[in-house]
Amino acid sequence: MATLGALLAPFLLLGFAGEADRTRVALPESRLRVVAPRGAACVVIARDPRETRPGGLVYRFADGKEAGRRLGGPTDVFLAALRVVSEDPARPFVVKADAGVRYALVDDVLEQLRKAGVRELTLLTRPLAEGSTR
Amino acid sequence: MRLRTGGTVAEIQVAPAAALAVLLILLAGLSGVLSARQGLRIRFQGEASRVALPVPERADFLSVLPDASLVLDGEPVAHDRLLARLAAKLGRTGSRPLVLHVSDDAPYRTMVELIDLLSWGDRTSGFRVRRLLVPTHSEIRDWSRALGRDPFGPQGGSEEGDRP
Repeated sequence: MATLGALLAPFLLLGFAGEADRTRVALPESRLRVVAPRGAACVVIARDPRETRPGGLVYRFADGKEAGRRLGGPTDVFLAALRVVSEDPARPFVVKADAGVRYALVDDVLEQLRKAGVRELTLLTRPLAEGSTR
Repeated sequence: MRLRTGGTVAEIQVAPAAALAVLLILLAGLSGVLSARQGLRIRFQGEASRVALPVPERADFLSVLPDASLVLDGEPVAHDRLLARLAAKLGRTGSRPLVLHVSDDAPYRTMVELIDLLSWGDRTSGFRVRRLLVPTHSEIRDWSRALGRDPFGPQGGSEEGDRP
């Protein structure tokens, strides 16, 4: 059984290798869902679990190769994206944002990505819940 | 020492190994599919420094207010009537561009739900928006400045600052 486990582990790790940032985020729902390209750089906008007052956010960035890191805000997203795009102008991006955050915060990040020269991105969603009437 | 092998045939059971290999391949494929990240694809128009938006007279404008209510070309519209109204405005082919503006204070999920509704429409009502533009607020500001008016106002032509 241990041998079997050892054999399976690399396969499972390979399967999850595309997930550059594992921050838990309550994604918005959508019926239309396109698979994001592998190796995409990832920007995370999540609620800060340590923050008690509403509106406390965490920004994280993963370039698709190395583990994600925390950023200070949208300006840092611009700099991080610029670094990635200068190496590979066609690099796809994904935005993993909490469904409940104000749109202005997401818009700010989208603007920074656009200014950095990002051409294509995927707004990550989760499948529409069973029985949803939307 | 003399090893007596006469008459013995060594056999390796390959059937379990093959079954295990198939199982591993299936698991790898399954985990790859399950872990794939999915969502709505967006392409930025034009270059980073330049705004590429249509002439207001050749487009329609949809605004999402902070309470998630909708305004189409300056007139309120209910969510369940949106696709029918758009089909009448954009034509059945849906080729006329629709520019979407989401209020700062609306939740992000509203924007995603709306894009989903507009893109998925052909499976529910037979009509789908084919050219949906979602400029950032900064792009809209630059665009309004260049036009000298707010394209999201009534009839796409109110003076700047009239936008709800």
